[in-house]
Amino acid sequence: MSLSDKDKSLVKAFWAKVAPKAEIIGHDALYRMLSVYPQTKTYFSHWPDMSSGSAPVKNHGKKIMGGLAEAVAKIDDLVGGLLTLSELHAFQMRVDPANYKILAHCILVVLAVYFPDDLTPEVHLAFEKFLANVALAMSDKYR
Amino acid sequence: MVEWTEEERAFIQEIFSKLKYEVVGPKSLCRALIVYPWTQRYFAHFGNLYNEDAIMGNPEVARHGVVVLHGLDAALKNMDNIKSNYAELSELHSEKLHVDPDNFKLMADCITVVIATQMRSSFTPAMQAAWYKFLSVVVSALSRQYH
Repeated sequence: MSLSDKDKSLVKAFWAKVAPKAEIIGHDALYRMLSVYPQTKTYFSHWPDMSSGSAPVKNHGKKIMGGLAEAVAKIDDLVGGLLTLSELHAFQMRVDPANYKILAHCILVVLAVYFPDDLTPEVHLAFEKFLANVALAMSDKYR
Repeated sequence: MVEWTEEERAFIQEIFSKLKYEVVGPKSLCRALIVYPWTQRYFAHFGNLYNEDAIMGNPEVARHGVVVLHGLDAALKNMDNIKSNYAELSELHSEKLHVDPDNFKLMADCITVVIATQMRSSFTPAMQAAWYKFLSVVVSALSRQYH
């Protein structure tokens, strides 16, 4: 389900609105993922604190949103453009690909909370496709 | 048997007490038909689903969205035995409507996103966890009679 030109422009326009709130959104989405899908906590067993507002959750939420910002900038070639991140996820982190869908859903829920009128069905479709393609890029080197 | 904490029950009650069926129902079904276009295969008889505007303006979609959302009432009324309450609806979806049960999850996700746009920050992470559990049980119950 590749990104059309329309998808790309919808994603870029929506991201421009989202970017100023990136840190809050990143933290909220990550905390929701850990709360609603507790099995995802297995990837963060090394964190001393997983509570809402904690430093590890805030910092990692910021990192994820930074990665997404990079993905938006390189939307025309996600696999190539995100090569370093892709290798990291493939060879070091080995996140089960099913979890990318889970995080994507949590990001969308948070976007719905903060941008209820901007996240129209059309924008939702484009952004979800974008996140799915980012997930594919992240798991590109898995096997 | 699913175990519910008092807090989870309270969260579910709160969501339903604030739920506007005639708003959330149509918006959820429209979103499913647009974001997951393959779901349109079940609604060819609804007429014009040609594009987003057509879907969002289609009165049959709106009406059916309300029907689907009211389908959750049976679970709310009997949270301790959701499975048995959905036997009939499950058979209907399997034997008569021939709906791929994967679609139930997609619909559940769309309902959740629409509720998030309505409740905004009051749809807290803890509330979302209870809601996800509730919808998962319903989805499982609806998928049970498939063979």
